[in-house]
Amino acid sequence: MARRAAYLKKAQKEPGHRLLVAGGDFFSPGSTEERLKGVYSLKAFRYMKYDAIGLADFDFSHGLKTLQESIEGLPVVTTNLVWSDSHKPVGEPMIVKRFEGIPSENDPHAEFRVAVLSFMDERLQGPMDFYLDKSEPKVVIQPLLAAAQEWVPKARKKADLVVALVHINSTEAVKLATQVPGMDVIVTGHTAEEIIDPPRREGSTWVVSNGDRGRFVGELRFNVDRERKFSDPAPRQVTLDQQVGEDSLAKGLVAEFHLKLDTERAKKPSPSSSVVAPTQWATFQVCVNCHQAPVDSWSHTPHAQAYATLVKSGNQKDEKCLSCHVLGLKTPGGFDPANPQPIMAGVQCESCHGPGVQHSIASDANRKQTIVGKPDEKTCRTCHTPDQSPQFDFAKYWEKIKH
Amino acid sequence: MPDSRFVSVGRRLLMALSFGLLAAGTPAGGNAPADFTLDFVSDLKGNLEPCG
Repeated sequence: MARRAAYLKKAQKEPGHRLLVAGGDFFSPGSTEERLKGVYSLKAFRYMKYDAIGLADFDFSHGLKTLQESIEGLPVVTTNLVWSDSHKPVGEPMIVKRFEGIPSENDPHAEFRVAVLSFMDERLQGPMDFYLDKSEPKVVIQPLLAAAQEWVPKARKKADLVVALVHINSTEAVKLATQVPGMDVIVTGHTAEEIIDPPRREGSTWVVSNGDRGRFVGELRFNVDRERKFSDPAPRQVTLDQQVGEDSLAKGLVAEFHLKLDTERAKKPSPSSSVVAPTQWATFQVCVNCHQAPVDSWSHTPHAQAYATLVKSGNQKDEKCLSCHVLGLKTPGGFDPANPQPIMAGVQCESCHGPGVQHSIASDANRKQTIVGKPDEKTCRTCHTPDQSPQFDFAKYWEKIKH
Repeated sequence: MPDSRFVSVGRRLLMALSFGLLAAGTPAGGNAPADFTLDFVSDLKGNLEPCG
């Protein structure tokens, strides 16, 4: 988030006009941690002054109250979301943003208008209802096609450029573009893929996607002439890597998130149980008894320091991060974030070879069957994912931990 | 009191400068296209920052 803010701050100083849109799913379902991440994501989007924000199914996963408090004051556009009782739109059905100083034929100071619409697929009604408490007011997703047929012509009349944030995949978005002409750009969503579809053109509509988890800033750069005609856009995908830098205020929001998470966790004592399941983790201290050379070698690798890198980045309480930086997160005998044990820290032997207690007590005849002797590349890729480890190359990385 | 002739000349200079800046702000003296960039993201899913 701090990188996104740093990039946008710099980009906004460049000449030209810029519209920032976000297509929903700020939240992810799950624990308090996921709820707070969504809340602080939206705080950051408010700080970055996004022009239009759509909503999607996951945004309802922590209840209406959380969502409503988080989006207060934000430019939320929800074209086909209405309250079931009043039939009134949940957010704005359309946002029109005006830009000054793009000359037209007769007026050097003429306005240039962009309309933003946002649609959810009505097939997401079921998942959305599942998330919401039955006592809460019901939000209805009106049929997407009919809503687009109603609102795209309205937007067309009000604006020079029509952008639709549509929570469907690229293939479905291309189909929508054929059914409802008039949208200049469709930004897709509802993805869970590492592969990002390249921009596609259907008629006069550009269909673009940007993957999930906010790893990139997607950009389309147009030239606008005096007759309000657009050039073909130049698409760009900006990777938010270390080179982008970090915005200090956005970084402050992330720090505030960590503090808030600590406070909320402290309010909820961990559930206690009189029955403690036996541990399945031997830890490197047991492995070393029979495998001294590999354990010595491991102790000098980045794997051994994996927990330390989390502490350095301040993410040592983030369970999504911890799962790949400690041994056996929240499993019996494994790493407990509420009571961090140094012996369970880091990526250890068992992180790749599997739990080793049975192996350590097995008879000679059964020993090999109780452990994964040679983990494969697939094992590495459970943690070395494209977003967390974009440079991962099995052959090169194996050299770092060879044993 | 400032001399009204100087005020008038000053205004004209300012206007000329403004038009010059406007022309410089749009490629090829204001006749060519202007830039517009759409930045987009979706499915953030609470990913506030990379792990480390």
